[in-house]
Amino acid sequence: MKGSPRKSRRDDIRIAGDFSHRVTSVFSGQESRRDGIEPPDKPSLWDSIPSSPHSRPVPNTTPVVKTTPVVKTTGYSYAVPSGLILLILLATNVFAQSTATKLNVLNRIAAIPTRNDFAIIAAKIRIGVDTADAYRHLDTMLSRAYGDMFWMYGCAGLFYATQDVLRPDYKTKIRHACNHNTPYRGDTENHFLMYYGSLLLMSQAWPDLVDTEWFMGKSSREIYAESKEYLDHWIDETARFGTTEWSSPRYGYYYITCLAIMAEYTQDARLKHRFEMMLEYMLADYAADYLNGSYCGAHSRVGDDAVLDPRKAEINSYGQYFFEDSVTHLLPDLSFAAMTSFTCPKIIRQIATDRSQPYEQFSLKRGRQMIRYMDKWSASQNNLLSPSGERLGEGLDSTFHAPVYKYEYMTKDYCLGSMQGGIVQPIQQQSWSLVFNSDRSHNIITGLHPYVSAEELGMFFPEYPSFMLERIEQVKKGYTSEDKWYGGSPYERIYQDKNVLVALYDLPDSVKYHHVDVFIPWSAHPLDSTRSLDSNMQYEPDWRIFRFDSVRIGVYPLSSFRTMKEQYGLRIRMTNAHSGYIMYCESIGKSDTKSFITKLVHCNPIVDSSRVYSKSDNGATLNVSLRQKPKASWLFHSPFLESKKGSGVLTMRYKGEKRVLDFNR
Amino acid sequence: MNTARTPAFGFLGVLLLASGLHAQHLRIFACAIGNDSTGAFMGGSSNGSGLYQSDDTGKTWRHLGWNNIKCFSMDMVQSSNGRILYEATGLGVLRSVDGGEHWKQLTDWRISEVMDIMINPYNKDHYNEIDIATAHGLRRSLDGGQTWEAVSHQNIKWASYGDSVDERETFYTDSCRSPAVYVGTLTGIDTITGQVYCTCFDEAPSSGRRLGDNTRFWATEWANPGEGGSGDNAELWATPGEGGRMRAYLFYSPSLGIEIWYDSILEPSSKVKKLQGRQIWNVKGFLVTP
Repeated sequence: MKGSPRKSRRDDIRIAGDFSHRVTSVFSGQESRRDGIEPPDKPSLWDSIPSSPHSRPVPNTTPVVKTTPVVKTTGYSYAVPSGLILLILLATNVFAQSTATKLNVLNRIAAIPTRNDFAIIAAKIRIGVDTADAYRHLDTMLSRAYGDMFWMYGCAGLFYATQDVLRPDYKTKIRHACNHNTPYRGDTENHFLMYYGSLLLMSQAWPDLVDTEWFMGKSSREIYAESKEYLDHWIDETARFGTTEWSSPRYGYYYITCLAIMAEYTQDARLKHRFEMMLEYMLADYAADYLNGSYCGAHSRVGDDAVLDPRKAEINSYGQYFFEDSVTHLLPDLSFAAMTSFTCPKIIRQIATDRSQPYEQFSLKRGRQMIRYMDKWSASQNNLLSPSGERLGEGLDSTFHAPVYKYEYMTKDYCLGSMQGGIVQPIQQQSWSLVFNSDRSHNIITGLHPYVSAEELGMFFPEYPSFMLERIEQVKKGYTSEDKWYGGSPYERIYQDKNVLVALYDLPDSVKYHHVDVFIPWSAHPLDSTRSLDSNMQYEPDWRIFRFDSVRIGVYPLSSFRTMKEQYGLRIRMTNAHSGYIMYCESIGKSDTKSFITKLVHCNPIVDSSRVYSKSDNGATLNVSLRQKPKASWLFHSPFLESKKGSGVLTMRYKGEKRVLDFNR
Repeated sequence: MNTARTPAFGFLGVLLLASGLHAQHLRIFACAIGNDSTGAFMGGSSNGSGLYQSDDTGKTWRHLGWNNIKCFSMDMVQSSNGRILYEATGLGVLRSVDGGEHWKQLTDWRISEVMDIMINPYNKDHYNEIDIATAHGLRRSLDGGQTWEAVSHQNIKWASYGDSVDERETFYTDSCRSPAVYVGTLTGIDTITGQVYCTCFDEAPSSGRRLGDNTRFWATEWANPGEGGSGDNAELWATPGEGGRMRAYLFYSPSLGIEIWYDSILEPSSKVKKLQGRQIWNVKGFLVTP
């Protein structure tokens, strides 16, 4: 092990206005603060890890993040008695991340056989294992002129995280690669974050290069200024108007990695602090939808595996790391987070794990920016009209992002969550899900209309729509399949009230596939054994009742249907042009099985122009309005999270504690 | 198959003859936005895409400039004979003043998906006027790319749409004659003078491209793949006599030499299928030195 430049890092710890933020000592593993008091000298696990000299440029201004007990902030820099700060921090136990977890994660990633992955290579160099092999792979990673934003953030992360131990010749190679490769900038929000985040850090590393020394013909100062401007813009837009790649089980992983890297190594105090807040913002957003390792609700972009098995999502790696402090779903990028000083504030962890009380969460996100067919993302006139024509919300915003009204009903046993339907993200959208709190795989029920069209692609991508449709299978395998399990549809409308969800579909003749599917995992056992599941039978609308661990579920197809047995579960398929289904779920503690079945099979569901209700009990069992007015003025509205649209302020709450992220200051 | 090749070779013939094939050295540029590799388009890394150049009428090609970009189109300062080049790419506008050896990005994070570019050939003193059509609207620079401004409705009369037109539904721009700028939209080709020039088909073309002699104007559309041509500066339009409707995209194969391929709706995707497994590039734009 190489020695750690502890003194230089400790010297950076000084009085800071943001008394409650970023104060855990990465050396001691205990909480400290920026008040000039030295952390304990007692060696810790973390002491064995060589540290980066660039990892702690602590800001001494910008008291933007606040955690209760609230101390009034009056300016950017102020003095608070250090003893009081220490008392506050110890009392509130602000940071929940354990140093042992960081070290454990880093060691395990360093033990992965070397491959062309910057995160694995960085972990090996940091820890000092298999370094010869690591450098050989690093040579490969730096020798080819291939590159995109994924390459960039990994390269930047490695450079900074290992800078004090990285061989000088490799620093030169990295500099050459970064200056001369011409990486693809990409076209999505996560791409831009990676691209400009990496450029920011690299131009910071070599601040005096002239324009002829960078691949795009701009000087370091120009690159830094442009990157900073974009990232500030992105933060402002997101904090005020919502994320566009919202709630992504796949790409959330990359957001967190990039923000962790940027928050750690950016030297500009103000910008560094904004990155830290954005990281907390992303984690808080995730935490409120988190249920024992599963990312619940609707998703903008879900991966192939996670769509039917939520725990396989990439972001779950971070969920375990930040919320559980125990990682079984280990992915390489965690090494970057483990090499930073960032620890997840305790209040976010509590939001992620306390499911003792059920709650509703309303949130507003933005769809991906549209470039064609702006009127075709939702067949129901932007999906914001009730069947009777009443306007229920806003249309596309001025920059052509569709509004996304997310809603979750979270309990200790399950989470039922949805958005309003329509297409707001191409290809990988998951519009609703019922996720169970279970240790078993495939703990999800979901459904969709498998929409496939050149228009969907042309709506979001600039190439010719027909050309893209021809080739889409080469890059997004399964998109054109009639059996796919993710993707939005302009012919889908979704309504939800707590534990009841209604999805309605009106499929025109022109649409490619004329069916609607619902997935029921095999782990959900049928409770109504009198009803057969014969793949050759065509059934009339009727309740199908299942139990998944501690949850009972009723599924009511609104048109005739068939059942098809598949690898991971049952497919319920409805082929009528006008179709849909009702999902009803309940914890087993609410009633016994017989009562549950009796209640549903006798409730007589009715769909009229304004609501879906149970006729026999006058709406006692089912009563879902089709004229639900979305909470269009709130980015977050729940017992845990609150943010008014346009405010740029996110308030977290948990049992009397409060933490505020104010992006305006 | 033959019906598809005829117009393809016809097109090439026009291209070559108009450029004076037999009179002078001909340099052809091709803009590729991806090949058949997985991940080569639509959010992929676009490895292998970019700008290609041939000095032997397409027998061999060499890659110019950046890898990993979607090169949608290009233009050049005509008097520079291929020395001053502009690329319209997914990440903005690039310029080279040394024949493609070095490039400078003229745009920043605000501009992406630049589908076409035009250097105003009538501003011969400085060539500072650059028009670009992006997936998010038209932009214009009057200072050689240092600053860009959106071309707003106030500056353009969108006769075919009336006042309700959305400027974002613009994808292609080209100059046919001074001072008009032709803009391909979802429903037709407009000019900044407000004159609507064409509806070749039931659904109007959305893409315009002048050929080498600056008089032939070809247009295609993607909503209903087809192609039309005009030999008189877009005053009069007609469908090609042979081949019928053609897809807008052109395919060529470096390994196959000069052949330039259309995908014909008469034989859907036949050319593409025929060439599966070989190096097929998706070419959005061509340019030939005058």
